[in-house]
Amino acid sequence: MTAKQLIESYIDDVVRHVGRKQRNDVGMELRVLLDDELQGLAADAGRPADLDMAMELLRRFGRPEDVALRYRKPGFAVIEPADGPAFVRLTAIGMATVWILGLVITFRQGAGSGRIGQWWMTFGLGAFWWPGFLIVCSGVAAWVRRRFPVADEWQPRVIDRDRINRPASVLAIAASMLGTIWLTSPAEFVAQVTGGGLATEFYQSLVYDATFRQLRLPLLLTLLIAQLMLYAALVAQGRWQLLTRRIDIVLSASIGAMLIWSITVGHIFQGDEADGTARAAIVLILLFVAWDIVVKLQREFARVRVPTSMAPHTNH
Amino acid sequence: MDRNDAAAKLEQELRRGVVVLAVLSKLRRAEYGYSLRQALADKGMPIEEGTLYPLLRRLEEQGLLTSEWRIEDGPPRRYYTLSTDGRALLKSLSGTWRELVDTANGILE
Repeated sequence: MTAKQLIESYIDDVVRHVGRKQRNDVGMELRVLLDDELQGLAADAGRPADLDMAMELLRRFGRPEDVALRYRKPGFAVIEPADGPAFVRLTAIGMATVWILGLVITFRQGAGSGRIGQWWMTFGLGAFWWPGFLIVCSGVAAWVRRRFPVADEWQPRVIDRDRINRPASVLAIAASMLGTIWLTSPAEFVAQVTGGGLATEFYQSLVYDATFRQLRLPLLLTLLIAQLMLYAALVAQGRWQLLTRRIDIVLSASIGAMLIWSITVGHIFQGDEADGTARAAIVLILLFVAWDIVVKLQREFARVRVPTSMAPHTNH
Repeated sequence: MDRNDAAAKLEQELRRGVVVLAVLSKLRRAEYGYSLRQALADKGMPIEEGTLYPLLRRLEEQGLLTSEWRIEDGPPRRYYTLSTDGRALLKSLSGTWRELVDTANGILE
C-alpha cells in the first residue's frame, strides 16, 4: 500500500460518516489538505513522503468517525449524559427482573437439561425489548424537549418528603387494615361480606393450608400489624424522622422476605387454583415492595446532609 | 489521570476558547486550510488538523465564513474568508476578548 492509497482509504472512511450532501465536497477538500500536510511533514523531515509518515499524520488527525462527527451539525443525544446512570440502572433492574421471573416460570414447568435453552430463547433474549423500550421513551422525551423547550424549564417546587399527608395516610391505613383482616381468615371475611350467598366450593377454596396458617401467617400478620402501627404513629406525629424511616425500610424488607418465603415453601391455600392465584398476586406485591424499598433507600442516600460539624444535635 | 494530564487538558480547554477568535482574525484575508494552520502555528497557536478543518466548515455553515475553490500555484484548494456576519462577530469577539484579558489580569494580580 502506498501513502496515497492509505490517505484515500482514510478519506473514504471519513466521508462514509458524513452527511450525503457534504460527502463529495468534504472528501475533495480533505484530500488536498491531507496531501498538503503530508508534503509539509516530508519537507520538515527532509525526505520524500512515505507510508509511515502518512500513518503518523492520519493517527494525529483522529479516528475517521471522530473527524466526521466534527464535520456534522450538532445532533441531539437520545440519552442525555445526565440520564446515563439512571438508564443503566433501569436497564439492569428491568432485565434482571424479567430473567429471574422467567427462570422461575420456566423451571416451574419441570427440571431438565433443555430448560436453560428454553429460558434463553424465551425470556433470556426477550428481555432485550426492555432497553429498546427505554431508548424509544428517552428519544421521544429528547424530541419533546427540543420541540417544546419551554415545557422543559425547571419549575420550583416545595420538597418536603418528611411531611405526612394525613388524609391520604388515613385512607391507606384503613385499606391496609381491611387487607390484614382479610388475610387473617379470607374464607370467613368473604362469607361475611357476601352474606354466605356464594357457592360453598368458593369459600372452601379460600381455606389456608395448615402449614401456612401455623407459622408463616402469624409471622406475616405480626409484621403487617407492626407496619400499620408505625403508620398510625406517623399520622399522629405528622412527620417522618430518621428512626421511623429506617424502621419502615426494615419492616418492608422483612415483609418482602416473608412473602418470598411464603411462595417458596409449601402451599398457601388448600385449593390449587386459589393457591396459584395467590402466588401470582404475591409476586406482583413483591415487585411493588422491592420498588418501594429501592425508592426509599435512594431517597435516604440522596438526601443532602449537613456536615456533622455543622449539624445541630437533633434527630431530624 | 495524573497531574500532568489534568494540566494539559485544562490548558487545552483554555486554548479552545480562543481558537475561533484566532481563526476569524486570520481569515480577514482568504486562506486555505493548510496555509491557515501554518499561519496560526507561526504566530504561536498550533491547532490540530482534525480540529481546524472541520471547524472551518462549521463556521461556514453558520454563515460566518464564505468559501470558494481556487487554483493558485498547485491543486485546486478551498479558500475561506470572513463573511459580513463573520466581520461583525470578529469585532464583537475582539472587544469581549480585550475586556476578558483586562478582567483576568486584574484578578491574577
